[in-house]
Amino acid sequence: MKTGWWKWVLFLVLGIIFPFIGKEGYLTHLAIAMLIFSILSSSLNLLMGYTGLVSIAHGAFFGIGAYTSGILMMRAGFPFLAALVVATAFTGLIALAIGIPSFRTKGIYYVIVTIAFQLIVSEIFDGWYAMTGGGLGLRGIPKPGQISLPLLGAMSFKSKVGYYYLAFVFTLLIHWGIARLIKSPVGISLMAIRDNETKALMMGLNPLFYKIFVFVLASGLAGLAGGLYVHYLEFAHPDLFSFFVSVDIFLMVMLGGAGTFFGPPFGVFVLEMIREFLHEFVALRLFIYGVLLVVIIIFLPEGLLKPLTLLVKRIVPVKE
Amino acid sequence: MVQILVNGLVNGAILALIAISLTIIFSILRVPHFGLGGIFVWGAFVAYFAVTLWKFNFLLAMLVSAASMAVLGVLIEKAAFKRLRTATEDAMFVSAVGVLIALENGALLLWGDKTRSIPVPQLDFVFSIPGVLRLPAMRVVIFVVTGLAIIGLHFYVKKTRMGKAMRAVAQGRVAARLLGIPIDRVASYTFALGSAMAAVAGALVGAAFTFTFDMGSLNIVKAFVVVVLGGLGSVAGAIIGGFLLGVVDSFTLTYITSEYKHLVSFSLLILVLVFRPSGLFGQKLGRPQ
Repeated sequence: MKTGWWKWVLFLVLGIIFPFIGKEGYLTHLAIAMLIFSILSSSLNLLMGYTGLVSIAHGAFFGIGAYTSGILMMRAGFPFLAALVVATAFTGLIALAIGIPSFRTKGIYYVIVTIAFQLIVSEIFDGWYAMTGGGLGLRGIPKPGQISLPLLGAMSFKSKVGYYYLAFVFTLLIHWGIARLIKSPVGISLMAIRDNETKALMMGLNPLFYKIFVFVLASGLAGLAGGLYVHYLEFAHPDLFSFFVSVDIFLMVMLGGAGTFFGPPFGVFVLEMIREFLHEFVALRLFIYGVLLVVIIIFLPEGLLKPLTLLVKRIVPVKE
Repeated sequence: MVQILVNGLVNGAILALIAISLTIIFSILRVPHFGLGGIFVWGAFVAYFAVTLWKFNFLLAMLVSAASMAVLGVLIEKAAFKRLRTATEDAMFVSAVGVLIALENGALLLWGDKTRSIPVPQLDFVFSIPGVLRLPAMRVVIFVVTGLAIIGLHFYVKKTRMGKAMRAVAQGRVAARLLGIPIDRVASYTFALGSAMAAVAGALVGAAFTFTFDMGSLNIVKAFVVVVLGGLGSVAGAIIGGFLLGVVDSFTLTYITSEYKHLVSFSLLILVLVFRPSGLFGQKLGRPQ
């Protein structure tokens, strides 16, 4: 991160001053959603981009974390942070349980297992009425209580701006962690497995171990994002964590560029913009998503960000 | 009991039909063509409009639907898969999911989310053995058409020149190319064939039951369950798997749970993939690469 440190400073500054523009309005709401989805897309990127595991189950893990955290706080009286931690751990545990057997399959078969898992989980969200509220949704999930910070005084998360900072801190920490991870020996091992699993095995790595590790990690992070999401919305519904949400997250990663660090968050931004402009036209939006998937996989397998930065660099030459 | 079994077999016939179209495209071209779910939906819509707007009889409508979807299937192959011929299965799968989403939502854009059913007044009677079985004539048609389609496919693949070329491409694309088999043409014919069968399945569902724009994704995933159950690339496996899953689903729905109606079939899929990746009836090939 020696050369890219200014990007981090830029994001930090932009992130901190943003609420002074957004205030309690719609923009801040949008920003919170984008922060949470960038956790989702960056964690899926660990799987897809760095380890080469295509997964269409991220929405399911997102939902498991969301419902767990919401239910714990509502019905068991957990405080916010404890509920979030337990939800993250629980989601990771489920991922461990599904990951160990499913990595016996490879390639397209693995993708199918993830789809089947997503559909099963969706059906449970819908059908387990007593626990999840089924199709009516889970209403009245509490927001986190206030905390007191040194220097800044008491901080409440009831307001949009307050919650924005909460989501911002989590997003920043997680992205920093991911950046460290992919530069570490573990991250390099993941990429070695992506590039050539047999070779990685011959070099003495244990691909299965690393795959399960990254799957549990990515799913746990998705669970955490789920917790952040429902405590903000104060509401959970099966549609928020459906197969199509999995496809959305998947598309965000593809759109920004799988295997690039800044790509997936950029993909979130692009897709959220499309979502905003086509808010009224769900069918048209999804139609465009479908076409986008085909176009990207054929013409831009590296995503949008790389060609865009190259273009910018050609116009504005920067000395590295 | 008999009723549940027969209902299961009817659903199984539809599943078998979609599964066969999936399996021929996959075994010949290695494309996991989930977009067939969209073709299935569009097939139902075309047959519906052929019957209601143009006053065709159902059989003709089904043929129109099959023919037009064959053309659409070829166009999709050219647009979404041709450039990916040397890419990984994962990449083709992504493209196929894109096609599925685009087709389903294209149908929603064009025709809305109304639940429709293709009216077939000529077949509006019911065979019944009181107390044991009620079987609407349309469901008998499903068996007949599925049977004919399977037999037709069998002869096409085994007896014609193009069928031979398809089998050659399935065995080894490079070798087939070296022997002068035009891969692009084989790909077009394969997609036409698969798409036509999926369209017929759509028309049958649309006439025997009701249909909406979003029935494709669930059915194509189920068809994939069938394909995996039967062993990838095996048409006989797809047929047996189709009927098996249809019956299993039907019994699950009646005796176990109606809330989790797909839980059993999808869990079955995961179990089979994990413990017997070559399918229940496929020969043991070791791990799929």
